Formats: sequence, structure tokens, C-alpha cells
Amino acid sequence: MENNVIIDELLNAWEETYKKGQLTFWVFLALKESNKCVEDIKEFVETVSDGTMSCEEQSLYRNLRKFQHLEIVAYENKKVSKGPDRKYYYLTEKGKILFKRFVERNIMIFSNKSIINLLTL
Amino acid sequence: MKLLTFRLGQFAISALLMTVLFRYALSLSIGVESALASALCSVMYFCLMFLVGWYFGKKEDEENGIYDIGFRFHLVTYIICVGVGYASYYIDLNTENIRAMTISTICWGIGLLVHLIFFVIAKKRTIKGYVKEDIFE
Repeated sequence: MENNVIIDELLNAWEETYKKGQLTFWVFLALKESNKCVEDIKEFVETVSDGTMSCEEQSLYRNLRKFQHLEIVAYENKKVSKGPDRKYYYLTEKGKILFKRFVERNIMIFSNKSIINLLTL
Repeated sequence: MKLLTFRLGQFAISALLMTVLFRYALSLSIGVESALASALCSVMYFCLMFLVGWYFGKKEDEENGIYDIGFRFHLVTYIICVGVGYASYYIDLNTENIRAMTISTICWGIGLLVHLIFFVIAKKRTIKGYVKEDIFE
């Protein structure tokens, strides 16, 4: 019982650290699928990550503005039936290359058969 | 680094308005030879400039997160204060004498130069004005 509590606490602590920096990955993944507005990105992240990742719209705006200045993300305005135009974000060429290289170096390694075997043991 | 931002522009306009008003109020105070009024104007001006700089600087950080250790705001303040100061002298408002003005411009300029050096050093930690470790937070 006590062991389980400790494991849960450790797991939460590990996940907290592990998730730091992951938001960018999920945002890029969302934009790789299609151009999206902030609400759509938030929904994608929460749905596709199976609820393990959550993000505030404010935080997304701040990050997207930063990425925009760094020229890895851009946006186009789209008219919506009600209210002002919406910003639909997409990955620029630089952003696509960055994401591809990141995935190759850090994500694809998990598709290595020996690692999959170890993970499923 | 994106040097000119919306918040910096808002700060520049506010600082320009306040400096023009300050110079005008200072001129009136000197005209009536009131040391108290001159001191009050200066203290109020300093406090307002500080508050406005703090407000827009904080907004800038929240919205853009550009890491420039305050150098752009300092530079804008310097240009406005010195520019408006000299302009008020040359349009015959009552101001401090030109020698005092030049000395303070040089001293402040040296301070600005030191700030520039720290800014250049800090810039090495950044990519386009964003701290490397904070880009993908």
C-alpha cells in the first residue's frame, strides 16, 4: 500500500518533468496534420495525447507568437461566420525541417525493434 | 531579434508625451523660480516614467518573452529624454544650462554603453532575442 503511494508520487513527479518541453511537439504535430486555430490545436493536443497533455489557450498564443517571430510558424487569416477573422497557424518550411529533424533524432528511436521489445517486456 | 514591438511603441509614445509635458512644466517652474515646483515635477516625472516602463516592460515580457535585459526600453528612454531636452533648450524653454545638459547626456551615455555591453553578452544566450532554454518550454 505504502509502496503504491510512493510509486504514484514518483510517477507524478517524473511525468511533470517529462512533460516539460513536450507541448511544442504536440503543437507541431497538430500543425503537421493541418492548419489550425488555437482552439483546434488545444483540442487536438488533448484528444490525441489521450488527455495526458493539457494546455491553456494563453500559453498556446504566447508560444505561437514566439514561434512566429522565429519563423518556424506562420498564420493566415480566415473568415468565420461570426466574429472577427481567425488566425490559422501552419508550419513554415523551416518549421517542417526542424520538426522532421527533431522527430528523427528523438522520437523515431522508439520505433527501434530492440527498444520496442524492451518496452513490451 | 525583433527590435520594434507594439509594447515598445506604446512605451515610446507615452514617454514622449510625458517628457514633453515634464519639460513644459519644468520650464514654467523655472520661470517662476520655484525650486519646490521644479523638484515636484522631476519626482513625479521620474515616478511616472518608472511605472510606465515597468508596465509596458512587463506586458512585453508576458506577450513576447524577448530577452534584452531592458536595453531597448533604456535606449528609447535615452533618445527621448535627451532629444526632448535639447529641443526644449533650442526652442527657448527654461531649462538647465547647456553644459549641465551635455554632462548628463555624456554620463547617461556611458551608462547606456555599459548596458549595451551587458546586452551583447546576454544576446549570446539567445536565438533571435529568445533565451535558448526558454524557447521550447
